[in-house]
Amino acid sequence: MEGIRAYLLSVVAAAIISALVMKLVGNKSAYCGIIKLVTGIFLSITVVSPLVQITFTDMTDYFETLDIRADAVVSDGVNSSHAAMAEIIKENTEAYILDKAENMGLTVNVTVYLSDDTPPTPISVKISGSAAPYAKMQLQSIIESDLSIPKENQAWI
Amino acid sequence: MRKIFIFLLVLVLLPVTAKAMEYTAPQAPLEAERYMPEESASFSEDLWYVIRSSISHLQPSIAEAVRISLSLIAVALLVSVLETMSGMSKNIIQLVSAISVGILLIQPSNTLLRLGIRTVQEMSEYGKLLLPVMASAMAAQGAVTTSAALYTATTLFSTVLSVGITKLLIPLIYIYLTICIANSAVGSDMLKRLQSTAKGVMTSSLKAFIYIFSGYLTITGVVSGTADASAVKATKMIISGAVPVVGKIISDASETILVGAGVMKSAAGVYGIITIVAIFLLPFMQIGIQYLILKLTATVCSIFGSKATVNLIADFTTVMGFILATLGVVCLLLLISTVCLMKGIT
Repeated sequence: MEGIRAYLLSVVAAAIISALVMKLVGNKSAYCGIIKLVTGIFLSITVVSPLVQITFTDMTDYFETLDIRADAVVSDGVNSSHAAMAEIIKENTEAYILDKAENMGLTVNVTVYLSDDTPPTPISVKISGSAAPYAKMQLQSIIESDLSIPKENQAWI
Repeated sequence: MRKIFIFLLVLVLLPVTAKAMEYTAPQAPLEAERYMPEESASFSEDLWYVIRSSISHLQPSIAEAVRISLSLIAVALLVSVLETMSGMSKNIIQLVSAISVGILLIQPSNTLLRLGIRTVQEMSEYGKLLLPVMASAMAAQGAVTTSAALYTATTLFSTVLSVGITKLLIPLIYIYLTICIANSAVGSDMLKRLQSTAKGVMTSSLKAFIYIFSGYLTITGVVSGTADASAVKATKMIISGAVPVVGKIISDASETILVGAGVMKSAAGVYGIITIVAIFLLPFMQIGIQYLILKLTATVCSIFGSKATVNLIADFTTVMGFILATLGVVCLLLLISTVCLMKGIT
């Protein structure tokens, strides 16, 4: 940008100087033709010579930085949404198990663990509290059939 | 019924979702906050409040513009009187006229140019804070590809525009004014052509920029929106393939996140739009007032003033128009991007 600005300034300055010189010399002067030629060559060199030296900056680094920033912003959104969804799924699954346990007259504490998939699914559960063997077996079957958590992944404390 | 259930679920679970994800628009700059309502009502009421507050601060700008206009009319009158006097060199009168008009208008033009630069920078800075919030919220809704593409496009175009305006367009405007004054004083075909080239470059570059930006955004939205819609469909198929109870829990959670993120994104977007308008409106109106009054002055002066004087005033009016167009382009870029990010997947 600085280069373009300097180029424009030089072209404009050359044009103004040429116009002033032509105005001072006047059209009827004996040297008018030569002055016109000289100012024309001067202006042409000012306009053309920087264009010959143009090189294009490598913008790859800038675009890479832009991509990295975009990825960071998007990842932030995806990660926070994933975390919020995991929290809701965990709470709802725990509420479901507690509801079933309450229907059987059991008082238990439940902690559900989720997978790292998208979307996260319940993979294991830790249940603490006392329960009769039959009630415990019933609850385990319900958890296995309704929530796809196999018995080996259900820990009773 | 389903909608009522979802609404209740959102009310219950919003505190839960709010813990994990928060998308709030950045605070408005202090200068702009003065023109914004303290408590948000509806979008249209907030917008109307901003417009009313900005208009109420226009009085000093109108007074200044009228003062300059009267000075210009006085100069044009004096020059026309001098021209009718015999024995006065036309070249000298032309030179004096150009210098007088230049002196009267260069300082206010400089002030308004600096106001324009400051406003462009403020809008760009605010955009840099708002866009990541909107893109993040959009990604949280599942529009990963679209949000990345829109964020990248807006950041790129905004940076190019901001740097282009401050490093290229503004110096070009000063160069244009110099050529105009020189042409008015000296009267040269070469300077006239240079003047018209500079004007053409400034106008065309702004037009080209907005066309390219709009075109890119449209194509990106369609292409990446299709990809995201396919991804969301695939996720829904995974959910529906799961065990019924688990599938329902996941589906409800997903819907809550979508709705929650959407509500927060919309709220942030609306506040962001109001803030952008608050930053943009008063400077735009201040420059607009100067533009309109100068245009009127040129029309009045054309009745009795010399052609060179009237043309020079018209050239300064053109510069005001460029600044207005520049501000408009920057504001439009940010508003279009914000609305596209608010819109989400189609």
